[in-house]
Amino acid sequence: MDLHELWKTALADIELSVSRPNFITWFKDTRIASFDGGKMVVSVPNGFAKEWLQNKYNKFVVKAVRSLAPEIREIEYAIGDVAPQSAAHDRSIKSAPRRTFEAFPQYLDQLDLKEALVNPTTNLNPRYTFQNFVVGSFNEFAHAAAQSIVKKPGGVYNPLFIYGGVGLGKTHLIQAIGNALIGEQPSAKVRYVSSEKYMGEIVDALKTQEMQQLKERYRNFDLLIVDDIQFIGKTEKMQEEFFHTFNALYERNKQIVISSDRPPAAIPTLEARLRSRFEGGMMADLGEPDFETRLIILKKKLEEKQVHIDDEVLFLIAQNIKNNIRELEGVLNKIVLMSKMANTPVTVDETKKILNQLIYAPKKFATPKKVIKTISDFYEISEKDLVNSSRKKEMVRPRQITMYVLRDDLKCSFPFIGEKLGKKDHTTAIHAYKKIKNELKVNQDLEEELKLIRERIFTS
Amino acid sequence: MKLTTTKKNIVVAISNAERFTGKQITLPTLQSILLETKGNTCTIKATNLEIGIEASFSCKTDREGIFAVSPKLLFGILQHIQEESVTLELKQGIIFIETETSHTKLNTTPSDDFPLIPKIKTTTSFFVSRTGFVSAMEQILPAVSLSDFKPEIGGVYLAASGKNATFAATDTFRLAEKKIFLEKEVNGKFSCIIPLKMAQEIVRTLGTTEEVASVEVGVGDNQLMISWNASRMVSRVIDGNFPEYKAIIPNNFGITFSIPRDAILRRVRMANVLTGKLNDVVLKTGKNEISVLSVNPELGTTSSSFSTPVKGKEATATLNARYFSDGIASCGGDNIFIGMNDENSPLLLKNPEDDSFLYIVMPIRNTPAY
Repeated sequence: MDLHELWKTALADIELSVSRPNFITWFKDTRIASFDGGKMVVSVPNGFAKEWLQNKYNKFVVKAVRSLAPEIREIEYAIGDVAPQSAAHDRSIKSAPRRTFEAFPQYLDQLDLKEALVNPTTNLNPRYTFQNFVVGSFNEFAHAAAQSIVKKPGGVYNPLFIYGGVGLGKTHLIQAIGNALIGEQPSAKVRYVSSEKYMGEIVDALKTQEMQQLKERYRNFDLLIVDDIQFIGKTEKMQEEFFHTFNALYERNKQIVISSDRPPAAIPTLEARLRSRFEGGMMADLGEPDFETRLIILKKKLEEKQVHIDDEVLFLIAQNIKNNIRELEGVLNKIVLMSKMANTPVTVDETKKILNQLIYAPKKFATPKKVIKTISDFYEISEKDLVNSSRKKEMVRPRQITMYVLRDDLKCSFPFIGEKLGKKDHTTAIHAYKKIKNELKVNQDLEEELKLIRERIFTS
Repeated sequence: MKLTTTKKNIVVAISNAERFTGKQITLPTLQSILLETKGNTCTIKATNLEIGIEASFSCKTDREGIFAVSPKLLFGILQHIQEESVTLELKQGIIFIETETSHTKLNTTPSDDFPLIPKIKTTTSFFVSRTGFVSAMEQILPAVSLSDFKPEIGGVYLAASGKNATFAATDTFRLAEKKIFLEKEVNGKFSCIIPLKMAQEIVRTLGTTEEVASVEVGVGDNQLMISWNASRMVSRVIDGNFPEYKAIIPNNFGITFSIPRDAILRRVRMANVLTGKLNDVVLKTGKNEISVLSVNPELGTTSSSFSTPVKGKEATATLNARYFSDGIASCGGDNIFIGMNDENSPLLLKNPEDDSFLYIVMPIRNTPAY
């Protein structure tokens, strides 16, 4: 007879000896928490029930239980969870978005303190799930890898390294893995941490001399998710700590999921031992969504907001915002708000206006000077070396990339470019431009590099 | 049982205990309160099985005894008697309430089934001044979440260690934090989440026990106990971890200003009259003035300004009027400091002379300029 059955039978017996109201009041939500060699612990919902059962009904309980399991010597009462943990977890994850809307329909636009929604134990935001992750050709590989991890954590895809540009859903995908795993195995210990936060924890632990506790804590997780690992390259101490944690988890076949804005090989200061470990598992990239996927994302978001907007308007948005899902959402929010304020559907012309503001506004004006500065910073060489006429290999390449960017993005003339970069002839500039352009077609790493450089030039 | 006491003593005790009674129909005795005399004290007990109280007052006892009675009836009679002192006597299940000029008979309810108020072995506890505790709770309470979808924020987070105690509450739209200083050190690290209902009762009940200087707050076995003299309140604590809110608190502001608290509160309340569906008011900062405005497309618009030096650029923030005014009211003091960044970042409110309390509110998603 299992514990559940045993308690059920005992309750049926107890019910006969106490009055109905008392039975309902005091025995509701009770269960057997443990039963170990003669000692049985009964879990009760609150202190009142504990006190009452202990002092008033103990003899009924003992009698009922003994008749079923004579080996019981003593019974203890402990205040336990009202509902099993798993059910509570499940509920909060699956129905969270819908219930908030029901509870606060008028607060749809009220921004919330994001950190307060986050589960403090796992650090996961329940908003990120597989259900609301839109899959297209650009991310189906990463998505499939993520899903297989939920089925078999610590298996062949360990570690999973996900990389991709800004606003393409890295964080969404890796947090969805954590949320889905908790959904399937409520007891799994999951931790999501951004590398910035990880660094803060290490600094705090060093300050309070609790490094050992921190290490222990991290080594006990079943699934560790680290976001934006590229920042880890900044400090050696952090790389070292992470290296040991990584090894400890890996040896125990615990799953590790890592995200970054570029592949491990493109993180300049990453130590070789970490890089080889990151590359040893599964690497998956998130590309840019195609038109159809962008459209599906927009429609899905509208469904969540329960608003209707013309397909024509959605087409226009999807056509214009190409490489950032977050931006896509931003534009949609603006349009939804406008239609709500005006109480009329948004027209295509109005959408165009908003898009124009957005597409041209954030792209900051970049000067050749800024390009040179950014690129020299990126390759960690001095500006002087970059504009010099040195033919050292490590100078030449950044110089050629600078020429390419000046031509391709700033539309500078070749003679001007030559003049700016070490008083070179315009043919040198043309050669550099063509060389990089051709190499881009075959070399994916270079493409990544350029993407990052452009991001720095135009966003900072 | 027979006891004589002052009217004031018994009326205060009953009115406090009444709020602890339950409305459950399964166990009718929960709707009543239990009075028990022992020596020269009378103890009143009440509980709804979530929270419970055991409050004592001194009295002259002629005969010890125990009875349960409806608090509404007893309170209804006692609050209207004129004499200073009153005698209660139990004879054959009927309670006789006697003063010099009035005679009342009340039927009691069976007391056998009345729950025991649990005895809690506290593992960590600390002493706190009653007024400090109550006012901290009062400041924090508005920010507690009323929704039950995230139970861990449905209460007041209380943590204490060394000589400091911190109260915090959030409903994910705003956050309030209060720090107080303790006279004696905490034995260990204290931390729990006090359910909203209990937090409200702490404010009400302790607010009326004026003769008490300090109370003891302790936790143990998933329960919270607040005790003073021979009285105590108990409650379950909320399972779970309170969000790590420290990271939310902004430290740097692009725009800051201080303003008489009364002036801004008036303006927000005025704007609140004409808010739209979102209950939104707009806070606008200029070079040397701030203004509060609201627009209701059907009813009208209002705006009012106040001259005060503003550090930083011109900006606007759209806020839920109630969240904003709750915060202004909670801050206390003559002036209020407001720090903000852009229209999508949280605002911080505090009393410029008092760093112990702060209130953070998130704006409503920015709307096209009015």
